[in-house]
Amino acid sequence: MTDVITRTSVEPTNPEPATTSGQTPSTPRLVSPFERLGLRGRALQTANWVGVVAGVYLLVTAVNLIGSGFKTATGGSAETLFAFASNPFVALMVGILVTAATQSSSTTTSVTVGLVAGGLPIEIAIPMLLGANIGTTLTNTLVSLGMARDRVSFRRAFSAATVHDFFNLIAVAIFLPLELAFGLLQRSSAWLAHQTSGSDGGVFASVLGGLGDVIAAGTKPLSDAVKHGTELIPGVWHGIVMIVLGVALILAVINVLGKLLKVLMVGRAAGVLHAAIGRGPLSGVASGAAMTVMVQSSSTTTSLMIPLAGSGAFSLRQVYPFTVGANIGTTVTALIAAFAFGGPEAEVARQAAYVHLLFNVYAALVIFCVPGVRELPLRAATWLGNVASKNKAWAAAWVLGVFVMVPALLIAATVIW
Amino acid sequence: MTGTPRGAVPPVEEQLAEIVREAEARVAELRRQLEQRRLEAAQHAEVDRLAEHLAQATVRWPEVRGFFDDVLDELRGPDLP
Repeated sequence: MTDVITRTSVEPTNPEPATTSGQTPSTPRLVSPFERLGLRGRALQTANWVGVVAGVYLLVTAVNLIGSGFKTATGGSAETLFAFASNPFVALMVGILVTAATQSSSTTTSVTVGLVAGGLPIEIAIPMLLGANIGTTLTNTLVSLGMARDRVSFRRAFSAATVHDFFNLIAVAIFLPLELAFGLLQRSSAWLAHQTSGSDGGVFASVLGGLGDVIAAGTKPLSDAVKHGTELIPGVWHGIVMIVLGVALILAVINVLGKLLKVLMVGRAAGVLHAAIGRGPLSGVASGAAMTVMVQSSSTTTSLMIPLAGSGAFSLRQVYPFTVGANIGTTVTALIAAFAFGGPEAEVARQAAYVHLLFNVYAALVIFCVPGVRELPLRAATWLGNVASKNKAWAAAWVLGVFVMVPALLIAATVIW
Repeated sequence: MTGTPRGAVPPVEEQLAEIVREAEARVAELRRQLEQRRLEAAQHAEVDRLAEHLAQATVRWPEVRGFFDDVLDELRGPDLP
């Protein structure tokens, strides 16, 4: 452990400047964007929290903008714009590619929630949400490539990264066919959305509906202002510009939110991890989920485990439940995004968010809780780590094949034929 | 030794052997616990450095590019003089 941590600590790619706390420039540390503006102490802390609240507000507004822009662009016939993705495998690959490119499943799921509220059929959205789960595993795999200089560390790190890949690939291999055959996720998410929306869903639905209406009403003025401000753009392009602005805003907000939450939550996250050490796998799942909710990024939490696994401080078997928890924790972003809509749009938006949540919960129950199946990602990741540490071409083929070539070729083949 | 059948293990020796077995099992368990505590202490020490690890938990593109450069070099094989 310490050799890798020491090396990366001593030779950071982007060393931060010396700090008032006496840290040397060689020790990377978390820096709030507001710190760069000269804020310190209580003012910085307050600014960080205000930044988080503003970030969530902008996230919800951006999702609303995407929904509105999609309606404007498609004029009620969303299927035609996404006709190329009506093949579920292509929609899956779109989810993988977009998430791999943005390195953020939260961005893909939030955008998808907005598109569904704007009229995108849920049948197209479900494979895209499943693809987001696979695409997000690219980040920690790329992080592990940075440890390739030391063979033993790389073997451990690459296995720790790809156990997440294999878990999510197996999850899709199980649940995409079930979805196509029985509509498992569509039906269960529709039921859950109905129970938590509308006037006939009881007290819980009324509270959520009321909260959603308040939030949607609060974010609508800004969303409408952008819509009116871009009205001069003619026809379909008006909607497309709104979607592009919404996606850009989500990317920026997720990025800044991640930085702020890391600074604000590092203490609590450390407490969660300390409490999980020495306990069973369920504590690992819970700590992975809790930490991901705190920093709003499964990429961050799973990437965090790479140096810890590479050094040998945490075993593959200990990292595995943590990544499963990260999958569940990251679904919170889409649930927050769904609050961008009120009325009838709220139910479909929530349904899309519930698809992501239910998929990850089902996957954890089926793969992680069934003893024989639970070992599959571990065995596959151990094997791949072994062969990749002996021949790096395996690692390169895995990264390029799973995250770039197979999705791109499948999409190209569908478009051409 | 009274009442011990000829050739049988004396009760005292049997008791001593049992005590040794128990002691060895206890020592093995203590070693396992010690190792576990050391491992957990190392893990707690790493979690204490969480801020540093979180700051580093990002993709470093120069390292990724270096990795693929290495792979290409390996695939091309060693340069012959």
